[in-house]
Amino acid sequence: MSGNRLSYVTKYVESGITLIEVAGEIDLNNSGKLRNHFTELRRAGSFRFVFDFRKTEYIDSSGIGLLVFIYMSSRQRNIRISFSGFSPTIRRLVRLTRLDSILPVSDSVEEAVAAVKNGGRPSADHIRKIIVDGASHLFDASGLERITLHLRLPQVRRLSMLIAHKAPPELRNGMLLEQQISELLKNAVKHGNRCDPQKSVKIAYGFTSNEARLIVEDEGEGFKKIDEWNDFYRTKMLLHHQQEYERLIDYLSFRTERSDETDGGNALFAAVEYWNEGVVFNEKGNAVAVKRITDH
Amino acid sequence: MSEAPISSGQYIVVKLPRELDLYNAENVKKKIMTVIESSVAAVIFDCSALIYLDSSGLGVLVYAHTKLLQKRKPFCFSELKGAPAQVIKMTCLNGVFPIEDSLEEAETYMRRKIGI
Repeated sequence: MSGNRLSYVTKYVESGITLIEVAGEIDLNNSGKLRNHFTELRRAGSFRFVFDFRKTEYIDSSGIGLLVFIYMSSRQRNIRISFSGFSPTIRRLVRLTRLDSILPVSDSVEEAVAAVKNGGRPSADHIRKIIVDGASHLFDASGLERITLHLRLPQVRRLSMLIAHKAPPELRNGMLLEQQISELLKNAVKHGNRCDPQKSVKIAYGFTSNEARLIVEDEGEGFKKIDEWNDFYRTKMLLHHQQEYERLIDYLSFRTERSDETDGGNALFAAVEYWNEGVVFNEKGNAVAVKRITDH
Repeated sequence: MSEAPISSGQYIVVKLPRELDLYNAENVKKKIMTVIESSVAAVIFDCSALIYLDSSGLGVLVYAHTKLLQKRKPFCFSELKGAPAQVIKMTCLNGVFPIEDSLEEAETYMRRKIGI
């Protein structure tokens, strides 16, 4: 087989999908070319791919290896791919190698486009952030249990556990709910009230079978670096999505001049992911309202 | 926190406590740093007992990670599960920390890394 007979055309179609039409033959001599082309597109930021093999006449074992490579490297990077337009011969080869139940194969290009349309790596617009809106409905404490107390740091874990145990077990995620409550209480006591025992913390919480809500207000000056935090988090998440782990190392901890040795600088990273209906601060920055919905 | 005996040039298994939080973070950090500063070649953090990890605890692991990278000492985590595993995933540290499913796999990984 001649390695010269492979050609491919790359098109950009709807929903940020990169469509690669592969024509000719894929064999040992040329599979590397297509592999490099895919890698370059991936590195350039494409994360939804459709491969159209309708004009591909022949694939040898290195071509099969290429399909596996594309599949594996996409899976590791949250890239959505779909292969389509296999000829009966190629389809048989895929079946013989037992890859038919592993590789994402669609019957037509249209189906492949539909399959990858909404998936894959989220765009920068989908990165979560902290909202500032004291008028948010998440601050509506009606129907919630309320307590006000001079909370001290040594009591934070115990109180968090007591609050978490008011939630139905399926909402607790093992100890995750307790831990997430504890982070917000710790922030209020330590960074808000600066461990001043004269200052109090107001807490409101409520749980249903699939919903957890919490409002925590301290008497401090407020978290003033929300914009900075959001920028930091956005960069962190983009680096994570791009698998830029060496650069990501610089974004593992958000620190301010008030951070001390025991501050992980990461509590709100987990909070914005865990509280999936929002992490909202009031304008002063001394009250935070959060909500999580589960789909069990 | 407990550690297996240290032999120079070998890897060490550091068993993390059941809970690693704001109350014991500083103490655990000191112990981990003593291990990192010792002559061990590599560190496995055994998370089989760990059921609670908060941001302070995570801060300790991030700090240890930075120090180990600086000292070019390989390390990995093993048997991470439950809420701590979810916290590590939510903070994207699963892309940064080498994580092995079992202690056995972690030891195999480490032997390969340090060539023993």
